[in-house]
Amino acid sequence: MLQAGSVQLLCLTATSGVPLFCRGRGSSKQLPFSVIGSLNGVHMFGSSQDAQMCSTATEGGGTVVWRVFQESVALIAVSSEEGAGEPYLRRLLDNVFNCMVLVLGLDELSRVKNVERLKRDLRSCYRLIDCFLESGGESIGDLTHCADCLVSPDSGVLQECLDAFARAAESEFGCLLADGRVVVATEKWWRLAPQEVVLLSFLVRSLASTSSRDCPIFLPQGSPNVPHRLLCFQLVPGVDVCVLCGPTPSLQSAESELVGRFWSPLVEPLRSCIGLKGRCFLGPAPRGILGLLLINLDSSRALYSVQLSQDAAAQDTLPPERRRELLRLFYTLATTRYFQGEPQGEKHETQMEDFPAGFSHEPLQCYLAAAECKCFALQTPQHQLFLLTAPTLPTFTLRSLATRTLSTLLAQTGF
Amino acid sequence: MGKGAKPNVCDSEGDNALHWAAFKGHFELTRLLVYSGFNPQLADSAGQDSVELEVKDRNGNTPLKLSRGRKYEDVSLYLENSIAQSRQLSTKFDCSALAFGPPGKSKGQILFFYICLLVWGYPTYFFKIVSVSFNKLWESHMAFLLGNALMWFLFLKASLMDPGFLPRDSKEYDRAIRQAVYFDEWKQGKNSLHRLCHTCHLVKPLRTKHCRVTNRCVEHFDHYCPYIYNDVGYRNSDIEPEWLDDVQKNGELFYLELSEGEEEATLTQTPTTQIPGANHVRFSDKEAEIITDSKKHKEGGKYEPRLKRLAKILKKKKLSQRRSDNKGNSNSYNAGQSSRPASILKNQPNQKSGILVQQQFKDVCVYVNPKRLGNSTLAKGYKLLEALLGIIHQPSWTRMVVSKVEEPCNEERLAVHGLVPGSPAIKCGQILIGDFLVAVNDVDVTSENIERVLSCIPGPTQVKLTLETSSFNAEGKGSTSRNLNKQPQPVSNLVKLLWGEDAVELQMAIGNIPHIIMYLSLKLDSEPLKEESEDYYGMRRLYTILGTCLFYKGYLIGNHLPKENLLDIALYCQHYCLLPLAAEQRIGQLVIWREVFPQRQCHPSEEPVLEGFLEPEARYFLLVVGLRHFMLCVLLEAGGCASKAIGNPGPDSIYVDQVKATLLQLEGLDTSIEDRLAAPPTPCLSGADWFIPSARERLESITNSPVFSKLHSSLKATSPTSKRVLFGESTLKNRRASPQRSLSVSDSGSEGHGDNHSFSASISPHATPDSIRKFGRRESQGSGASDGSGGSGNIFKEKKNIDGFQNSSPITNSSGFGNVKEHGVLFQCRPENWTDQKKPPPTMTYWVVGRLFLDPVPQEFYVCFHDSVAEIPVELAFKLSFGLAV
Repeated sequence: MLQAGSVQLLCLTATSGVPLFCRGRGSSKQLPFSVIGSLNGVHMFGSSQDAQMCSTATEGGGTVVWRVFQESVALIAVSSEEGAGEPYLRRLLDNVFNCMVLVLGLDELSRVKNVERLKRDLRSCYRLIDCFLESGGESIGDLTHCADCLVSPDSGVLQECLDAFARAAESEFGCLLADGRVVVATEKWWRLAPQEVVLLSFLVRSLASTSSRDCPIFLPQGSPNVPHRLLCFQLVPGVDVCVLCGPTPSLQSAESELVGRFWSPLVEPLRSCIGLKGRCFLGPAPRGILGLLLINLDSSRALYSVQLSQDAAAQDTLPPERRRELLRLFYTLATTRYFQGEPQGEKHETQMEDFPAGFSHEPLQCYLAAAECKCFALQTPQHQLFLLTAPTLPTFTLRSLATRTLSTLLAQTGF
Repeated sequence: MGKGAKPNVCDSEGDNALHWAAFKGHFELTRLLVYSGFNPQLADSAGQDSVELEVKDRNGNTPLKLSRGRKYEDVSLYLENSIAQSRQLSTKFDCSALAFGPPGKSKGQILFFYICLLVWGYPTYFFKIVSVSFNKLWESHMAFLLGNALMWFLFLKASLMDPGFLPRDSKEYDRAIRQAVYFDEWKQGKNSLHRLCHTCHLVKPLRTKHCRVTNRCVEHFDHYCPYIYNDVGYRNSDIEPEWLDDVQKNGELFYLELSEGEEEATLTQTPTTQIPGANHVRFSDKEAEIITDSKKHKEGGKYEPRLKRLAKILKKKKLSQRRSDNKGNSNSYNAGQSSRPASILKNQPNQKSGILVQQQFKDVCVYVNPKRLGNSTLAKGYKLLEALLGIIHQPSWTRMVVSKVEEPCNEERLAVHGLVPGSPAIKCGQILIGDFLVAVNDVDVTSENIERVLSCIPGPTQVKLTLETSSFNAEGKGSTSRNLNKQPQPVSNLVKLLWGEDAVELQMAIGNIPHIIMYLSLKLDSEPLKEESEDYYGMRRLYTILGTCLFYKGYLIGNHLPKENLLDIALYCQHYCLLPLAAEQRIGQLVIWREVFPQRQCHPSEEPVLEGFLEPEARYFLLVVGLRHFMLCVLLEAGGCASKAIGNPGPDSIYVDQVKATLLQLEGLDTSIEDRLAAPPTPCLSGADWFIPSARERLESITNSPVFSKLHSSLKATSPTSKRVLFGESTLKNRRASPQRSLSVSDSGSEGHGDNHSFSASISPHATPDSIRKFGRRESQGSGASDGSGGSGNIFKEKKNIDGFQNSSPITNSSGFGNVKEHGVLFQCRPENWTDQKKPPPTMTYWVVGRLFLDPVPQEFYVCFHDSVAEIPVELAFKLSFGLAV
């Protein structure tokens, strides 16, 4: 029914089963109402028998995942993709619900009074939800729940400027984003839940075309019921700065007074951030690496890039889209199977075999050699490194390559 | 010199030929030179006479001095004598030469022997011993004297007999000399003159050597023995191998000699079980007659004297047919089948006549049941013959052989063109393809009336078929193609038929022959045979050894052959049941020689393996030598860089001996191989937690506890066959690891191998690489290998069959990657309950690596090994995977 590689997201009210919205990725048409109804019916039947329907897999490799949030909203994700299995869909449902909370607030969602109104209100978060659905984008934060970062060479100057800017805007939460990646952020910003940081990055990215914006948001973890103002200004194309603030200052005053004053001297460093675009950090990467994902578990930050070298030959072998896909797959595989330590210790129920619970041995590294590529993952107490390399690389070199890469990256970026 | 070479020519140093001969110690040459050109008695044209023997070169060396300097006693002695003679200018009778023989062929040793015995030994014996003790011990004295007489007889015989001297001055030599100039072989870089002996003036056959002591060419020259004062050669030595008589005219040889114990066993069984289904069996008529009627033969066999029977069996065993493959196996036929001879043959091959057909009638009783046939099959012509008896006759298809030899008949005779598998005809094993059905129940049948006759059979009954056996034998080369026509043999555990197996299955079957990989340091030279003799004689070697492979009890142990050749040879060995033969019985001696047409060389694939490389135009020979459980197959190439094979060369004894010597050298291996074979099919495992020293102190309490011992025994009882270990149930099932715990000591740190929580707690599965279970639900076979070669760590191994292939395994589960070939995880384990706060707990890291093998059946194979193990043992462990039975 679904075409390959497509994901359908259904949102219904949990109690009555009224469809709230239905979003999809890929070229497939919207699911017919009868299918939606039966999918919901299965879940409802289970819950009436005191059984929770979590997920199911079809023979053709498809996956269906159900989840009910706040006993009011049920989300169903249907994927026909073979690789992106259940873990991804769970994350997706999580993220989508967070989007809804971000835009509407938890109160609105948990106590549905008027379904039609809710439907109308939810339209405003379609764009953000689509952002998450298009997981092939340049961010991996939706999967890792770690903010994608970009290490700029001028981060010191930018940090100072941002701190000053946030102070001037009477806020402690400020962030500079380039192309959806966090370049610098205030200390308080990092104290937000990692999911929120990712969510805000996605939000800013979804607003990319606007030069300035003032929108009310609820923080799903921090303040799900009290809205804040997110002021967002585009400094140079692709680079945005945003602050979370209270009633003051107004968007107009902030834009006219503060932005120009603080950021105009720093146009060049800002432009250089965009120049980095594909690679998210400066400095040479070891040869043979097609893509890497470095996660700092303590600060929940991630470096993610699939365009490390400008090697034409390397570009030819695997298109960046495929690389992203492979790296996501490998991350999913490694984290679900081996690296159980979730970045922020967040335990959400996974339907994994309960084996690791009784198993004291700790996986440190893993690799995978496929026809298309080779992958290597490495875990230290503080970092996780996932590498995607060319299949021509000998397997036994992967380990040394990974350790070397980790040490160089840490030295270069201080990540 | 006969051609006019001047003997007195000197080189730059002033040394002439005599100088060199003396310097090099060539006694014969010295004598020749002195005799011809340097004879002091005959002054030559230059007026030089006796002085010439003392001609000095520029260094002032005379030949005498040179030879003395090099300590060639006989040469110098001879030169001295010559000089003395020449000075006296008179012929002098050489007393010492008469007594001790000419120098170089000294009689000293033999004289010493004679004198010792005659002057000292015998007088002492007769006067001192016999006189005293004759009355008491006359039996032993008589025995001694008889023995002495025998010894003298044999000694004198060996001493005086002709060791195989070849006649001198043969005409071939003259012809060869005359034709030498015109030889085309010169152009090809071959020197045909190597085969000539210029002293004896003859063309040397193979393995003939000129003995410089006796100065004659001796056939199969071995050495000169000074004690018997004679050469040891073809005639007076026993080096002729037993199988030499059995070489066929086309050069092929199948010689099998069972070991002693097996012969006994064969004797006790009915001797009727011989008879292979070969066409050219060299029975005498009489013997075959006996075998024709199995009952009679049985009776006759019973009353035969034992010795005769032994001789007969030996004779049959030596029956040197390449087709007589199941000869050695025959004693293991099932009792039910062994009552019938496999075929009845009474003909003698005659190679020279090309194709020869002999007729012999035989009666075969088959049990037929016409009621079992459905009505539908009784339809058309010859159907009954096929359906009832299982004999396929194709009327239109008469073979060349038949039409050539047979008289043209009005009514077509019923030739057996094929046999239906499972039919009575094939079950009885006596009806061969190519036979003619002559009579059914003594009623003559032809193609006309066969259906009528057969349809008269009322019900289940025994039918006597009279068959005319026509045996034909094409000349050697075509014979391989007839392998498939081979008559079906009784199926036993040894005899595996080609029947019903098509080529692809056969290839698969070969792929499944048991392999074993030895951790032993096998000292297998890639060229274990030295072409000693040919090189020595400067001849072109006869064969190039392309490669060898060694089987032990049917297990392939070493191989230097390309894959295709190995497959061919394995196919050959399997087809002739050599592998099981070696496995179940001890071969006394097995020599097989035949020309082969290996696939790689004779049917090369389309694309050349290497650019510019062409297989030489050559002929190939397979030499299989078996000795006890060992079997060494050698593929030889004639042509190419070896000399071309002419005709149908038989096995060369030097090669056979060398192979045999190699096998004898390998004798010592068998104990270690046996050890390996006796070891459980699964390599031993070790548990990851044993490396942690903290568990050591717990070991004592555990080992003494009844739980442990009970577990120990139960683990031993666990069969190594694969069992399903579902993850959920695996807490109750343990693996085989712990019995081999003592083997798990490694260098890598912890000599103590305690166990962790597994034994002290309930019997939980943590003793073994429990990490494996991380991969979830699977069918697993606990197995592992301690890495003997490296010693640096242990390999824990886990084998996995692909049952829940789609849903459980990490390799296939990550399907988004395309086909994943390899997947590995590095685990780190720490001892639990580490109490020492000061020191960090010791850690042990180990890999679990799985690979997906698609060939021959898709299966995943997991190896768990310590971090410090190098890549090579790991690769080896993966290579082992196909040897483990799943």
